[in-house]
Amino acid sequence: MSYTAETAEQVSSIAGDKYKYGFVTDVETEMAPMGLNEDIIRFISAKKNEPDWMLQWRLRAYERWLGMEEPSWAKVEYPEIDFQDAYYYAAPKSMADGPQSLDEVDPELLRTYEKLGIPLHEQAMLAGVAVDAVFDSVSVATTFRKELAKAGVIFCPISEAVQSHPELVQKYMGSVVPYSDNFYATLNSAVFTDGSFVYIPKGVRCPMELSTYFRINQANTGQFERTLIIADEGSYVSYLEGCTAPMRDENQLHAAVVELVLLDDAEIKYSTVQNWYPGDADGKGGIYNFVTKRAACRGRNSKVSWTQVETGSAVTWKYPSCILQGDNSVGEFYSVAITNNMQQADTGTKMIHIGKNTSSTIIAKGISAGRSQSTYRGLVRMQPGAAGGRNYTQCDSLLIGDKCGAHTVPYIENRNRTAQIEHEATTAKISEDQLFYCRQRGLSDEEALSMIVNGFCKQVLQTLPMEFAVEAQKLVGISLEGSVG
Amino acid sequence: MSLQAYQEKLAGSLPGAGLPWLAALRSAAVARFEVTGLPDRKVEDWRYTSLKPIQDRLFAAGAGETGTVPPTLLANSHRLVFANGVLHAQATDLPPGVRLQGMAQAMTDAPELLAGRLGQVATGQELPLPALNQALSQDGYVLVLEPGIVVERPIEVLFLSSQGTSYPRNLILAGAGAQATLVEHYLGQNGGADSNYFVNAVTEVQAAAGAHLRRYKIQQDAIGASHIATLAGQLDGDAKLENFDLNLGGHLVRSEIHMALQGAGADATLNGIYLLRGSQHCDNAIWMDHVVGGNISHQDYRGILDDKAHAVFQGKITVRPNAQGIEGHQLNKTLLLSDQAEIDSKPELQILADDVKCSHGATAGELDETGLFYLRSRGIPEAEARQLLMTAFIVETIDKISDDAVRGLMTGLVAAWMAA
Repeated sequence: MSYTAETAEQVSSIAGDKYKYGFVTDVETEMAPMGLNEDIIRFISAKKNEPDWMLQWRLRAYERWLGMEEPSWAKVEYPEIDFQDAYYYAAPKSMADGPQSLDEVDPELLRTYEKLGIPLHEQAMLAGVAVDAVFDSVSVATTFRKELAKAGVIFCPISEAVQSHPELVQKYMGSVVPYSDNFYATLNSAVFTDGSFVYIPKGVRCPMELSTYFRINQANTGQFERTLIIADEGSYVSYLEGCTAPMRDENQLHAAVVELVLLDDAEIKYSTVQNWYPGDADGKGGIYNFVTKRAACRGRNSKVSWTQVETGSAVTWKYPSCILQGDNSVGEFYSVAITNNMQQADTGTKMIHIGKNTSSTIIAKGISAGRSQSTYRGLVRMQPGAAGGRNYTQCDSLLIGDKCGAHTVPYIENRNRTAQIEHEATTAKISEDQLFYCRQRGLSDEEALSMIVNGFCKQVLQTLPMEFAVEAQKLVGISLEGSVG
Repeated sequence: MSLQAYQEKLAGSLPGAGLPWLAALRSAAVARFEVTGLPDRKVEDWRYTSLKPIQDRLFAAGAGETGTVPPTLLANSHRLVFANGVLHAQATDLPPGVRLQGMAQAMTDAPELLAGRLGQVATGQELPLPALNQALSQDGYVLVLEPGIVVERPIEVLFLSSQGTSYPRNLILAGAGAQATLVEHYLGQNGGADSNYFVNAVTEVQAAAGAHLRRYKIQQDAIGASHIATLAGQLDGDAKLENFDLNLGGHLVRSEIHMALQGAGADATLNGIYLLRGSQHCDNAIWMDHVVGGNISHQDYRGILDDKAHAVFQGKITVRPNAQGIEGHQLNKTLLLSDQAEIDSKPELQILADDVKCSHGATAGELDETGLFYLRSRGIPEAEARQLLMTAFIVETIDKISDDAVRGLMTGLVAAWMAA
């Protein structure tokens, strides 16, 4: 039997029940009434005890959103979303009184995170990683805050930052992704519930990795989190993001906004392992992951690096982007997108070169199996002022089985003579030669395939921080289970 | 005026007015255009090109003025000449088994050859500009090769333009195993920028099994003119098309290619060069469709942009489900000589089968400084060194032209552009 037929069979035999994060936590939950209208937004704002400026901002976004149309240019298909048929706020009841320490947090919630491999008790944690755990619409706990505070680092839920650091939030929120940016970002601006806020002061190298773990639990809810990271002059932070959701037959919407602001000489490394529930083998259920992520390199010599491993979600629509405004600023995008069964992913990046001598690197690896569709969509633009700009793009697609699709849609725009853009892309199946070579040396079909796929992704996986690299490698295996390690 | 009103006024005077199938084709085209209208930049395929310069010039037929007709580009060619879209001079000495004549004439002489073939390749899709052409075309050329015919001498078709709007409609039908080399030449009679005529040409190609066609297009329209051309082709098994598109003229240029490889062993090579200065705009848009398995395509488009020139390259390779064993390659390289020039490139792959080897590459930037330094360090003056490097950049694509005489011709045209 040729490897292709065998692989295809194995891949197609993977049912959604291999998704090990698909359990539901039974906690008493407080929800907003179903649907979306001004009252719901006022409800959310009141729940978060927000100042008036925040409410007004939300309402402006909502008004704008009513006049917007859902984008249809991405190569993804899904039934029309009824935005009135969902709950926009869901929080565990036990969180209502605002537990002051981890000991007061509902043990059921803590157990959930333990089960997900994210213990929230600091002594049980991997040393050197601070976690903000977001459960449906609220942040459950944020660890190591005291240690971080010693270094001057602010790491807290964004709803808390609105209260405690309004000047920073007001100055930067919406400055990278304006509330009018796009359909999903505008929706998020109106109804966002929680997310993380990070501020790294001047000259500080954040003493530990920061991490947010997003969990959707309730049925018929959407998760709309908003993350804002500000790296002041000369600072550095590495930030990790993980996400999972229960297995359900209904689709759930996740529309997040992430804004990164980098001043002179600052550096942010942002890593994501996206493992939302992908739906079952027939494409039933799964998360719609419509996310707007953007970094503004405002300062000179600033550097932002996006790394993403996208294995989950039924539909992914996500383009972490870099606005390279400061001279000599650097943007990087490393991505592995694995789709299997009926998953669809339309993902890529935008590199907007504005400042002089700005440079960007894009390495995107797409692996399609089953009946899935994977698209790389990216934009590289050299503005007239981007003298000496440099971009290198490589996007490779690997096809496993003959029912899937891999697509590449790059936009390359150069308006500066001295800027150099190079773009390369290939699409192929795993070559028989490579497989033969591995098997001839005594590796089984599976081991051979695993080795080749891992090699294919290596360039990206090796940019992940240690803690995530391990998880990511495992995920690559699970996502293509039956054919890979 | 609406297209419908204009077309109704014109209909009686269009060639083949008495043919019911043709009338149906024309009214379907009118209906289609009435729905779409001229595309604006919100339409994804027109993202980088605005049709504003031609929006008021759609309905102005040019008179068939002649002026002086330049000599043939190639020695010993069979040549057909059109002036402002209307036949001016017939081809002579045609060998048996070859029909090369004006479309209007062919509609009288051999309508049965055209019925069911004309409009078949370019009409199936929702393309507004070919629809406009279908509705209003007065003339164009028809080349029919009987099976097995090999045309020894090159064929030249010259479209001379000086004013108004013309809609050349061309059809190439190559029988099984037939072979021919064709140069389609668009030339502005008055090179001046004041000449702002509009040409909207459509060339359809149907190549039967094993046919081998070489089509070389040279676009030297007036610098103030607008030139929109669509090549729509279908290649059967083992059929081969070598297409080359040289764009030198025009203020607003769009060259579209829609190629469908319908048989195993079909092989399409679509290459092109664009050399632009001033405020010229040139958009090459290519849709390569691998319909069945086992066929091959290559694209190599390069250009040099000076002053405020703006070039666009959009190429999409589609591999349909189950079209296994495909090879599809695409390359776009552009040199920018000025700070105000702009290149927008969108090389796209849409792959729905797994046993494929597809690649694309794109580069954009200025001349390689180290290369320049090397040459200058060897005593070559800067201007000359630049020209050498530019020539080397372009020649890589020119060298892929398989016809010796045409390759020589193209090399000369490129050298003349650089010297200007």
